[in-house]
Amino acid sequence: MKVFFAVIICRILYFTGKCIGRGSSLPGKVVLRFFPDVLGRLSLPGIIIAVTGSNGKTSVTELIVHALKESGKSVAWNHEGSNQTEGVATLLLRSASLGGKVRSDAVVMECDERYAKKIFEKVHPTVLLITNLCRDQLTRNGHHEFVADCLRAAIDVLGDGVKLVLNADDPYVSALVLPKTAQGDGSGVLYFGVGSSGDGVSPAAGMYDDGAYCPVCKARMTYNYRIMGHFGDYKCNGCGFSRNKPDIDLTTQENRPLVFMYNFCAAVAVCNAVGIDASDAAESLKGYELKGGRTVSLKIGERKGFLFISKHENSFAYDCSLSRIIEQKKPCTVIVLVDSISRKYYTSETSWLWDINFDLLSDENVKNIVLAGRYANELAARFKMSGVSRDKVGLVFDLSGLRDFIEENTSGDVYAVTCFSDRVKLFKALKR
Amino acid sequence: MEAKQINILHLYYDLMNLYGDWANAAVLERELDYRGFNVRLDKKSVGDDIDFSGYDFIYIGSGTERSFVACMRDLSRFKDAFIECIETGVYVLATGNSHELFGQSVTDCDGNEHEMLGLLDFETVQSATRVTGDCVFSAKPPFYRDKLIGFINRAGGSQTGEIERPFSVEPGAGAGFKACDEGIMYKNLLGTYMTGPLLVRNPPMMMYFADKLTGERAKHESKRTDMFFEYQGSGYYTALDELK
Ligand SMILES: [Zn+2]
Repeated sequence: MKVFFAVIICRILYFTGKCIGRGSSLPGKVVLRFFPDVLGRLSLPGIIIAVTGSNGKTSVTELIVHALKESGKSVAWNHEGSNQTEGVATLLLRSASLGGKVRSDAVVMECDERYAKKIFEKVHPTVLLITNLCRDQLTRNGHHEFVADCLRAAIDVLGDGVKLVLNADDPYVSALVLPKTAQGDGSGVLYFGVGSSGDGVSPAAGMYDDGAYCPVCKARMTYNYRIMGHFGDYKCNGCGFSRNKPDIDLTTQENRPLVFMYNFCAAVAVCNAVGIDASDAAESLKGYELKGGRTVSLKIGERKGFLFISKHENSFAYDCSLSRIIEQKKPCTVIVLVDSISRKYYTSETSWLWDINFDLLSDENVKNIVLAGRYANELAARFKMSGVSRDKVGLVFDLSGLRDFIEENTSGDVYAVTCFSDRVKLFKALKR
Repeated sequence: MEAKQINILHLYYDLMNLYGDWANAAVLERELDYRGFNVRLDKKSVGDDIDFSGYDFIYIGSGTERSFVACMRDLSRFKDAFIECIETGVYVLATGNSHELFGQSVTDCDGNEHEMLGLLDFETVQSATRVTGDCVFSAKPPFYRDKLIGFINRAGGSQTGEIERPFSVEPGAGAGFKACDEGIMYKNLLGTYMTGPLLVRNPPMMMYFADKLTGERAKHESKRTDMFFEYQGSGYYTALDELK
């Protein structure tokens, strides 16, 4: 009976919420308050995939769902992106029959790193993907090693009944199964990696190097090659901890941005873990365009360009976006907009700006840089401490003047970098 | 007349460098250079040979709890030389958890006790929870007359010990921390749990160290024409306005 009522309540709240445009975590929240153990009473399919990590969760989740569907499986997933305990509860309950049976062949749930343990105490995934561990949202997360400890605790909850899919290139992710856990003998782990493009060792990208020291023993690490940030082929000079050979390595498959390649490999590895042939999965994802993509087209008069959505408080995301801009190899103007740092919580914390490698914008194709929003002053101070020529940089505090400023003072294609929290303001400011 | 030489040491620059800490040493270098002094900024870390003599200012930033333990392990090689520096009045700034180095011990959340430099009489006991959030500090004389803005990002837990505390947390401001005295202060050593580019975000703090190191008072602020200082100041007021 409990399950029956829980499903009914969830459905009503979910559809009411949908009508008034509310988020999808509320139904789960309400139901869990009245029936805290209801998720354990649901009858779930044999494939339950959890996706967590600092970056790429939403994109990889979408790719996995697409590949599973292409292979003929029906899938339930939290496409609204509510990835804490309540969001996962909503997903499962709205997908369940009145008798409490989730009828799809597979469930794919994006899980917040910090809530993974709480979620796994209620629902045991059969496959757990950890995409990467990077500096991200310090206001919530503290730092990446603290998040790693949270994930270790989450993995402990699962015992040996789970297949782990881990990023071989990220030492912090690979170290999660050390010292040896139930899954750590290797049989329960599938590694994915991107492999070298062949240019040899590239210097640590950016303002900090989280790959300098071993996550296990803190001795120095050396890299055969680096892909980006602390991703690459690493080996610890102290304890010998080193990169595992990836089971899934698709470096040569497609000429797409690096971030996409990681998401792509991760999705193929997950499919492989549930018994789909890796090459079939890869084939079904070829040319697939993400619906929730982070690259959005821009147009200002005759000038074209892109918005690269990059999470504030995440220097890794910013560094990736700045690299994408340089890769375009076109004369351009770059807008960096920081107006409200988070839409979810209150913070005025800007130290993450100092972790971003803005020196990338010294590139000769970058003709103008426009710093905009409430934190333009802090951005300007940051740029003054970079190698970027002062002559290129303009400031716009009041967004209503942004479009005029760009039309009158800048040239080339227009690329913008900002977060979800400031995206709407940007589009409004660029509209005539 | 030849310009005076000022030497800065950024210690454990790659191990203790969470969230923009590097900018503290860099912005001080910039300010001293702006004032016409010859500045040398050395960066040293684990395993390096370090001769502590000849430095006028030493900076250490914050790190993860594991990095912190590795930092102490390496620093123990130089324990006497480093303490000697502080005793002779070298300016030292330790932000975030690095100021815990100067106490007697740190007990981590698994209950392991780590021996520290033992310069000051306090102990740190950590818990598994995490404390993060924006904050506003006031500083006691003879330091700064202005409010300081910053960010706390540390393991939960507490510090015990009757020592002089240079800062007071403004209750309710920012993330809403409770009122308490905070940080460490001994001769010219200053430490705080605030993390990130403190000297960039707080021009009064940067000016304090620059004044002390150069032995001169800065030109009156309104007479300054460099844009960096203006951006820095405006950024400070923006954040202060948000947080109060
Ligand atoms: Zn090691």
